[in-house]
Amino acid sequence: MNRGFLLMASMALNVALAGVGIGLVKRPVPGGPASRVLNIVTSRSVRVVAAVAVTPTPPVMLSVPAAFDWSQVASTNLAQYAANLREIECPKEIIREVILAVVNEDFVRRRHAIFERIHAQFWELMAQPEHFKQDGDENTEDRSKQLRTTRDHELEAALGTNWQRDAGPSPLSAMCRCQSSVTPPKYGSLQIS
Amino acid sequence: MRSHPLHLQAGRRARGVLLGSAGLNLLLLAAVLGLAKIHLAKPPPSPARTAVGSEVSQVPEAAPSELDAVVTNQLPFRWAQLESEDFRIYIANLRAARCPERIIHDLVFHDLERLYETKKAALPCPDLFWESGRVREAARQETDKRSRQMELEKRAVMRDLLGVWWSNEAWDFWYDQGWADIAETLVGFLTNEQVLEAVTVYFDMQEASSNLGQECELCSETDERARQETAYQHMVNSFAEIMSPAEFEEMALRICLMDQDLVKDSSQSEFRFRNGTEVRDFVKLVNRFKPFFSKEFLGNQDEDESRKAQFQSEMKKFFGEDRFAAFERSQNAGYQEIWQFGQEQHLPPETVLRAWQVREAAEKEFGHLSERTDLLLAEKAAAWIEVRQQTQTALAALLGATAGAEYLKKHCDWLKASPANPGGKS
Repeated sequence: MNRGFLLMASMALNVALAGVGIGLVKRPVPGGPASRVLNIVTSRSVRVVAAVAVTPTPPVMLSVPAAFDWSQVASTNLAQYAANLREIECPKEIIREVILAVVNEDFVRRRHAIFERIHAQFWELMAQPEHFKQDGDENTEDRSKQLRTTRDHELEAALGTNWQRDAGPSPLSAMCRCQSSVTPPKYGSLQIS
Repeated sequence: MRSHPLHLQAGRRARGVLLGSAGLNLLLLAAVLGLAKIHLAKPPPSPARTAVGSEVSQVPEAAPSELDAVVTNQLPFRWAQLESEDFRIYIANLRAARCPERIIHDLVFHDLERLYETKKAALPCPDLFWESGRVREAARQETDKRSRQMELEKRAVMRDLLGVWWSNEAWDFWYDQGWADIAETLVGFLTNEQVLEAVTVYFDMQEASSNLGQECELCSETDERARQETAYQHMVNSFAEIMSPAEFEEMALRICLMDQDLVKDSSQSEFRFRNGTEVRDFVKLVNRFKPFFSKEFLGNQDEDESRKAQFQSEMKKFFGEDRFAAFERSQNAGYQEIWQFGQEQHLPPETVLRAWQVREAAEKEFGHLSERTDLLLAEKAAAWIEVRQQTQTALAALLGATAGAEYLKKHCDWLKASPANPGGKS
């Protein structure tokens, strides 16, 4: 009877150990490929190599910032340009400065074009200053003034009517200082018109 | 032979089964322990978040099949990724993103403006209302000096970062002031950056000139002149650094031409330059004696007589006797007035010239009368009236009844002047 009991107990232990063994075989190994999650965020270009990829495994998720080129925000439509900059969370004052730089570059180029004839024939025009004042149907001064007005409208359309007020202390405050403290030089009878 | 009993044989068989089962127990236990060891071992370390940039890029190149297992999730680009506390990195990031250079210049310029506005605002600016005016003025000058140093520092930083520099004042002027058209005419042949730098030097010159005036209140005339000339030379050197010698000469001549108001249109004078080359050559001559901006910077100081005579002589040589006389007349406001009147009345140039000579003669006579000390006041007044009447008669005869009356009515304030009597008898 004693031997029978031992035999029964031994066989029961065998069954239990076999069960535990099968369970362990089926259980995944910790740190194995199925449980890996990779999440690297960097502003620089990163080469990432999967450590173990011998057997087919679920793909590694890698979060990287999109490459940026200025052409993605630049637009000939200034309002769209500003909107594109807002989209990438560009600060308000920088949007204003970018649009101002774009508009001013165009303004200076167009103003230069108005004075093209003067630049090309400056000294000849000085020999006949009455011709200096004439510039076809419109005079240079009026055209330049009109250009400034157009530029101001473009800025308002792109940045809103209060763009100057929203600009903060610089450069608007300096602009006011400049207007109040500097007076144009007097150049006698020779008027640029 | 003796035979074993049956129960003894069964007992031996049961013992064998028990031993077999115990052996299997041991084998299974070993297998379970082995598996458990694998599962209880520490997992390998996961990739760290700091493994970025150069550290990661040192990983050897992977086989294509390995890279196929990586799926990238693109995060949307944000402006903050371009920004940096370090201006050089910020600029490099903007350039890498192919931001136009012109925009980079303006962004850095405005950033520096903000930075230095803050620094300037932090400067101590004591009220010192209880102190004497002299102490307050000294404190104000000290604040101005520091502010100026910051301005120069800001420009140096900008130049170091971008290779260009300008002041906020110049930027506002060039883009926003109506009279920037004058600058466009004078220096529009330069690049935009050169213009901004040249305008900065111009405003510096104005400030320096004003400061010299304040500093030299108690200076001797010689000392003041020396200081002005040093400051003027400094300005000239600053301009010369911005542009090529040819550009500098062109700018200087254009400024000199406007500064000295050397050309008059046909409504003001009969004098005509023959062509553009003559104008330029003449301005070159003038610029030698009256350099550009010298009027603004050095004031209308009397030249020494020998230099004045040399200038006159060179101009006479340049134009010839007759044309020089016409040029000299064209610079006279009184002659311009009578010439303009002649144009309106369609008078021949010879008539205008003779009318001008009548006026010149009358003014000369009035001058003599004013200086005479031998006449009584009543005698001087009578002589004055006589000259006036003779002049009126001569002008009326010369210009004709209608034009003469018109001229005497509207353009003869100079003739109505009363005699001065500084040393005359009472």
